Parts: sequence; structure tokens; C-alpha cells
Amino acid sequence: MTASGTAAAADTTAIALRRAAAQDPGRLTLLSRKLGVSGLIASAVLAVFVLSAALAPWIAPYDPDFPDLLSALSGPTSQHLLGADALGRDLLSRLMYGARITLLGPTLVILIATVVGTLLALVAAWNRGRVDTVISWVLDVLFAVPGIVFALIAVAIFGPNLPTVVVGLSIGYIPYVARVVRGAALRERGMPYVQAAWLQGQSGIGISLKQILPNVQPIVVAQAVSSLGFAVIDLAAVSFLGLGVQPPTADLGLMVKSGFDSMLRGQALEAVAAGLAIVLVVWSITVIGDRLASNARSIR
Amino acid sequence: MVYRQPVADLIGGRIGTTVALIALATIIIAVVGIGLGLVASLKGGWADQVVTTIATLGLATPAFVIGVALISVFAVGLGWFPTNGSGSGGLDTLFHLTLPAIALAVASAAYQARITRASVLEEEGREHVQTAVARGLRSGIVVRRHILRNALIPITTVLGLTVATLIAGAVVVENVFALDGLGSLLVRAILQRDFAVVQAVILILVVAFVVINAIVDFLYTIIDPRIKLGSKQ
Repeated sequence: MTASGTAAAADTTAIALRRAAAQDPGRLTLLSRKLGVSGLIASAVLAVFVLSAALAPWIAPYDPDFPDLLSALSGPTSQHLLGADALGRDLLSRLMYGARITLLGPTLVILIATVVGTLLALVAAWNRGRVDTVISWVLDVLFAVPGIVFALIAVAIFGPNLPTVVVGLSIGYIPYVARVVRGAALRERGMPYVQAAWLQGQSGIGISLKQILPNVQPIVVAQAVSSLGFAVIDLAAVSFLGLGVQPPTADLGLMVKSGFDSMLRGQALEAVAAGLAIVLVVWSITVIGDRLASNARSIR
Repeated sequence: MVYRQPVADLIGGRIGTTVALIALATIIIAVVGIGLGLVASLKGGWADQVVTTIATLGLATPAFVIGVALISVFAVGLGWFPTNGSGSGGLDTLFHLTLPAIALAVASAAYQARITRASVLEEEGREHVQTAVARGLRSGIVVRRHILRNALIPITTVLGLTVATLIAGAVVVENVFALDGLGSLLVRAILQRDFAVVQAVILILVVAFVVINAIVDFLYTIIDPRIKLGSKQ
């Protein structure tokens, strides 16, 4: 009895395993079809940056702020794999810690802009008429100011620090999200399923959040990822200008700035490493965003 | 306030540098961006691949990284160009502004190339172009009269919007190259909390942004007579 029971159990596990094995490559090929070859490479590159940023406290070889003055401006050595900056701080460690702010800051910017922008768009699309006119007008006004200028205005008022820049920049990104989502939501608004839900007695808020939002979600995600690349550039530019994160915090934009000074003294490694890191991050995000955008378009 | 000078004088002395920088960058974007886009879409094949790859990379590179790279190669390394300053007028200014303008132009030129390529390819697939080819018109005429004429609308739109974004980009590039323009004035004023200057410069940037967008809207009516000012379409 027990023997046959175990055998049966083993049998079902085997079947389940085989099924999982059959499904797994299926999922992988689906992923690669969704992202394409360049998309897969980009995802891998981005994953390396996200992992080394997230695990920085555990895998970084040195404290990012520890000055080893004897190795200042040294090239790659066995102690410092990428060399050290003008204050003798380990460059590899600073890159890892710098990637945290360079990834986290823009993610917050886009998160705020996407939530606010999507809500504004849904309200405009559901109510139409005067509400839509007012919201669209506000968005047009926001459009008239380049995103980075909002960040500069915020810094001028509240002083240079990261939260100020993040909030200021996110205001600049709201219209880009809202305009795209509003168009898509207006199209969904005219669909029969929305009327059906309305006739069932669902509220406008319920329909917008439970019916329309899931249907425009691929567009929201694609727009958010595409904007993320620009946000990384803008935020790095603001830190480069010295108006964002303040030294000694490690940040890729700041590292390009301090690397620029070292470069004029003959050691270009910091500027090259930090600049290359920014380019790779933005490139991988842009490629993934492009794929998501074309997928979202093909669904429609 | 910090300078103890009227804000108008501070701005008046610097606006020329910024305008020259943006104008030079615009010329580079129009020539290189549209040129590469046309090459990619009309030649196709490996040319298309190369341009698309370069454009994707160019779009991913911040202006200040390009600026630092340009200085390290052409100013510090080869010594062909000065590392900073905006020169003393005329040809000297043009010479000083070459590297900054390139740094400012790269990302936008990449974007312009992508848009140009996409819009030409879209027009190529249209029925009126197929008709023109089927009628046996020479390919030069088809390209010029049937493809480019229509592709010009999205190309101009993007060029106009691009010039507008250059205003923000100039703030960064001027600081990389230590140019004495509105952008470096703005950043210095922010750090010194000199609000009178900050307000005035931002006002100018925003007004310039709006005016350029208005000019682009007006240009539509010339390129495409079907579009009328104030029409609902």
C-alpha cells in the first residue's frame, strides 16, 4: 500500500517535473521573442548593474568613502581593480555605490510621474468635457518647460539635494506620461465593454481603475520605461552640475565631474568608467523600452 | 544682486553665446541627423544597420559625457581645440564653440536620424509612392517629390522640438566647456541663491521654448498647405 503510494507520488512528481521542463524553455523562448536578441543583451547588462548596485554593501571590495591616499589617481592595480580617484577612494566600489543612486533616483522620478500622470489621464478620459479641457491645458503648460528646468527651479528654491531634484524632475515627466495614457484611455472609453460595465452599475472610478487601467497598462509600462532612460540622463546631468547629490556621496554623474578634473591631471579612468556606466545603463533601458513600446503597439 | 549689476546687462552680455551655440548645434543636427536618416532609409542593408546602431548609442549618451570625451580627445589629447571659453568674436568664437556644439548635438542628431529614417520608410510604403514607381518615374523624382515632400512634416516637427530641448541641454554643455552663456549664469545663480537672475534666465528659457514651438506650428502651413492655422485637425 505504502509502496504503491510512494510510487504514485514519485510518478506525479516526475510528470510535474517533465511538465515544468517542457514549460520552462517555452517561457524562455516567449521571453526572447518578446525582447529580441538586443533586448536580451540589454536585460543582461541592466541586470548586472542592478545586482551590483543592490549588493554593493556585500560585494564591493572597499568602503566607497575610504581614502587610501597613497593610491590616489593610481591606474588599475591588484588592490584597486579599476584604480582609485583623486582622494584614493576605490573606483570599483564607488561605481557600485554610485549605481544605486543613479538607478534609484530616476526610478523614483518615473514612479511619481507615472502614478500622477496616469491618474490625471484617467480622470480626463473618464470625465471628458470641461475636466479634460482643464487637465489638458495644465499638461500643455507643463510641456512648455523642459523637465530639467523644473529640477533647477526646485533646487533654486529648496537648495541642492537629491529629494528636491527627484520631485522637481518628476513634475517635468508628468505630461509625457499623461498625454500618451490619455489618448489610449480615451480610445478604451468608447469601447462596448466600458458601456457594459457602466450599465452593470459600476462607478466611474471602478471602471477606470479595474477595466480601463488594465487595458492601457502595456502602454503605461512602455512609456514609463522609455522615459526612465531620459530620467537617468537628466538626473546624472543635474548631479554633474553639482546641483543634485552632494559629495562625498558616490554618484555616477558626480564621478564624471570629479573624473573630468582628474582627467585634466592625466588620469582619465574615473571619467571613462563612470561615463561608460551611464551610457550602458541608459542604452539597455532604451532598448528594453523600445521593445516594450512596439509590443504594446502590436497588441492594439 | 550678487553681481551688483542690472540683470538685463548680465543676460545681454551672455545671450549671444547661448544663441550661437544652439544655432551651431541645430545646423549640425539638421545636416548630420537628417543626412544619416536618409542614408539609412534609402540605402538600407548594412548602412541602415550601422546608422541605427550609432543612433541608439548616441541617444543613450548624455551631452556632458560626450563633452568630457571630446575635451579629453581633441583638446587635451590632440590639442586641436581649446578646452574652455567662448573666444573673442567672429571665427574665433565659431572655433571655440565647435566642440560644445557637437556635444550638444549628438543625442538630438541621433533622434533626428531615427525619426527621418522611420518617416521615409513609412512614406515609401504608401500607395501613391507605389503608383509613382509603377508609372516608371525615375527614382530621384519619386524620392524628392513623393517621399521627401510628405516625410518632411514629421522631420520638421521633431527638428523644431529638438531645438527647443537644446535650450535645456545648453545649460549643461555650457558648464562642461566653461562657456560664458545663460546656462552657466543660471547654475551659478542657483548655487549663490541669486533669485533675481534665476527668475530672469528661466523666464527667457521658457519664452524661447514657447516661441520656437509656435514657429514650428507656423512652418507647417508652409510645408503642408492642407494644414491651416486654427483648424481643428
